[in-house]
Amino acid sequence: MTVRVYFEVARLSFRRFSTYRQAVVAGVFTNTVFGFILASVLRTAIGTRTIGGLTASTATAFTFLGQGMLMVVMAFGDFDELEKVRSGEVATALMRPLDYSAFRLASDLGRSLFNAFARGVPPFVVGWLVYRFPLAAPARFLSFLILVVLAAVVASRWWNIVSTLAFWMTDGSGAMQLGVVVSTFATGSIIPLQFLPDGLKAVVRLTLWAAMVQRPVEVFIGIGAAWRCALLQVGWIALLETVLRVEFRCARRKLVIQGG
Amino acid sequence: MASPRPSDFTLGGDGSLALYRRLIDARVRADLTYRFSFALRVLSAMLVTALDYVAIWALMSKVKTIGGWDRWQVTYLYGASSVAFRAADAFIGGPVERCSQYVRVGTFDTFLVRPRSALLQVLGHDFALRRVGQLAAMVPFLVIALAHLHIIWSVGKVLFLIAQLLGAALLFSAVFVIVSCLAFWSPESREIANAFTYGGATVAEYPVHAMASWIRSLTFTIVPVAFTAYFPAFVVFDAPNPLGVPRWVSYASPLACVPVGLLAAVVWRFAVRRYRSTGS
Repeated sequence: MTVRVYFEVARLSFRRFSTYRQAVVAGVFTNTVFGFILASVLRTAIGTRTIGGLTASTATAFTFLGQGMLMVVMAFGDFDELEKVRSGEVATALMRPLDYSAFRLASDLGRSLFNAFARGVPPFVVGWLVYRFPLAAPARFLSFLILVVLAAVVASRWWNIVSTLAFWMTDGSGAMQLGVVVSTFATGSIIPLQFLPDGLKAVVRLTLWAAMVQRPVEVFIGIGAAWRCALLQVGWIALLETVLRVEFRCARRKLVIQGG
Repeated sequence: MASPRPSDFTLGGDGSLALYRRLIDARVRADLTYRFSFALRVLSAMLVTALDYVAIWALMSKVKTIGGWDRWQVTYLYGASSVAFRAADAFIGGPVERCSQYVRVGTFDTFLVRPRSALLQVLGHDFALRRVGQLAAMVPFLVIALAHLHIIWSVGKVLFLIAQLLGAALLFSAVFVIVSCLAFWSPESREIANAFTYGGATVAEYPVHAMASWIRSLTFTIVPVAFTAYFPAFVVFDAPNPLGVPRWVSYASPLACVPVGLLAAVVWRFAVRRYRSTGS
């Protein structure tokens, strides 16, 4: 029965985001343009070399997949949720007889699933039509899909932790912005982390942000083991979920509805 | 009361400039209300712009040159184009981008019923100090790059550099205004604007001759960002253009903002006249 509720929450969230058709087209256009710009730079820069396992061809695949993943993991932050906390609207959600953390996860996953199809696939297909980079074998592709789902869960937990900070900050947009800064860079979506100096690369590849984009994409292009990526993601999910639950519990006590 | 005017580019004369100053003043005070959050926002805004450079720095450490240009030459492109882009963003781009929201919600009406330039009101309405912070964060990159480049300086070159930065800032501003006008047709499609503004700025950070040829052609024509830092670089470096583009193009590149700016003025007027508020 309860599972059914969360399923409905996810389904409605999926539907909610599918109503903004023009926004989707606009977003796909922009992600695709950025894919071409970044791929163009990387292809020239790499030339005929192999850098950290990346060739010009796999780096191209990396770029377009990375652009597609941006919206799946909400790389630009979750300002909607922040606004709900700021305005006090969140109180309605907290009153529901549901597990708030699970409710938020369901809602985020619905959105991520929609974005995976609507915003993830098109840039990748366009990029492939132009550059014909190698695709993953069916087995690897399947494991990639699972890793994308795990990445969406990591992203959901992370952005909820950040937006919940707004319970204490009146205006949490600064914290959210800082979160966006760190994640746009450390996810590897601006530039594959292979280009970082080795020491820094090793550290950043273990972060939750790398688990959102860099690591799954590595698996797709065949330079990373799926199980390692999954292990990292599950570890982060466990940790973030714990933090988030503590945070929610404190936030519930802290809730101040502005003007109320 | 003067009768409402839909929009114009009149700067001052009717008190628009004084109004603009007061609007900015109000925004600055608003920014400083939540100090901690404001500090975080400025810090993160500065970081996000600087992180762009980390990508270039990392890339250059691995590959040494792009299109034959070394780290400092590329840093120069990054610094010069980013200073101009962030200046444009701080004073024109950031505020004007918000038009999609005003049009969607219908609040654009308020700008039209006041007897002052709608554009100036828009520019004053969402001025944000953090964007000035981003601009400030870009200046060191330009300065450091110039210091490493063994440039033979002359008065003419200094003047050219200033003209280049001004021209580039105006060019980016014009691009911001043009693509923001898209909001009057399809407010939901605002992300398309990013492809031209942020996309254009990203392309401008790299030597254009190293780009795929179709992207290169676009930067010479539709989104003429090659004129912001790339073409001027040949004057600053005293180097021949590998694409064989004559030097006078480089010297004239600060003027590229003129046609783009005129186009922006026309598009803005046309777009605002088209505005029919919400519910229609």
